[in-house]
Amino acid sequence: MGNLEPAMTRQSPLAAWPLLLRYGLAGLFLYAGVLKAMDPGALLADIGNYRLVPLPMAAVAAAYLPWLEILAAVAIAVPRWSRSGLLVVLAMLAVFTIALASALFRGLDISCGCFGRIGGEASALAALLRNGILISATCLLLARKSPRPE
Amino acid sequence: MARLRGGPLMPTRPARLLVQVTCLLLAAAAPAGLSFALRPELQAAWRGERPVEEGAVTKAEVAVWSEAPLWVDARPAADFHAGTILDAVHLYEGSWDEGFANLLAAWQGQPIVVFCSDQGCGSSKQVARRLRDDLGFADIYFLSGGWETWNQP
Repeated sequence: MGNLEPAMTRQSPLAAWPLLLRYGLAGLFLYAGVLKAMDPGALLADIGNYRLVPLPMAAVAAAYLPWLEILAAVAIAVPRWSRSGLLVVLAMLAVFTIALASALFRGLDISCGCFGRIGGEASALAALLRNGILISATCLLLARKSPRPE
Repeated sequence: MARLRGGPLMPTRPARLLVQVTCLLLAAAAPAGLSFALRPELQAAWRGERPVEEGAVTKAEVAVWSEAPLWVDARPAADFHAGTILDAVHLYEGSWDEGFANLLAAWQGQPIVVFCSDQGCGSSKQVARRLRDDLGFADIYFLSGGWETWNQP
């Protein structure tokens, strides 16, 4: 039994991928949220450009979304809150993806607004592909089993 | 041990999950309210007033400038050839080098105003920002409303 212990307790470096993915997602959303929170006026203009919601609602979204992203990112990083953080992020990604797809469908030439103005601009198509990858990563984390007890 | 290994990622019951998600949604409202209170542009938008973006100019504002600007058309080539502002230079992000050379040939230090198709288009803002970086020149703006506005009386 003594010979088996090292093999049972030693983990492959690959076993760390869920943790890395979780912290990666948390870091990404924290970065995006902070950039947007620093310049809600730019976010307001970007949301307005999608022409999906009336201006007053865009103002509320510009004030609210950055902080929801920040809090969800922090929640993802905290083990007991990670699933709820991932769910909030998944919901946000779904909304962003629908908005981007709608803009592409309507032929709007808009900036994504995903990472504020400092974080660079991505075309709607590139942002859509990125969202697809992020949604897959989030679903993967939500679906996986964990050795951690409650 | 085997039982623990087989457990879910975060073995949260649906009710606890619901409480946590609600907490996150409500907690974000507090800093959002503060942000709203501190940002006049958000308050103006709440009242229905369209925000004025930094670097945006209107057709009426440009009309009273003492110096005529160099117009830069950031729309695709097909739109540019179909009709544009008189003496405008075509500078599309997808063919930057060619358009930038044309712009340098035409530019004599006057203010530059970039325009794209309409209010929602983002390419004029991106081209204006890139021109500010590449030229190191501050008097570069984008036309609010774009080509659509230009054609309105």
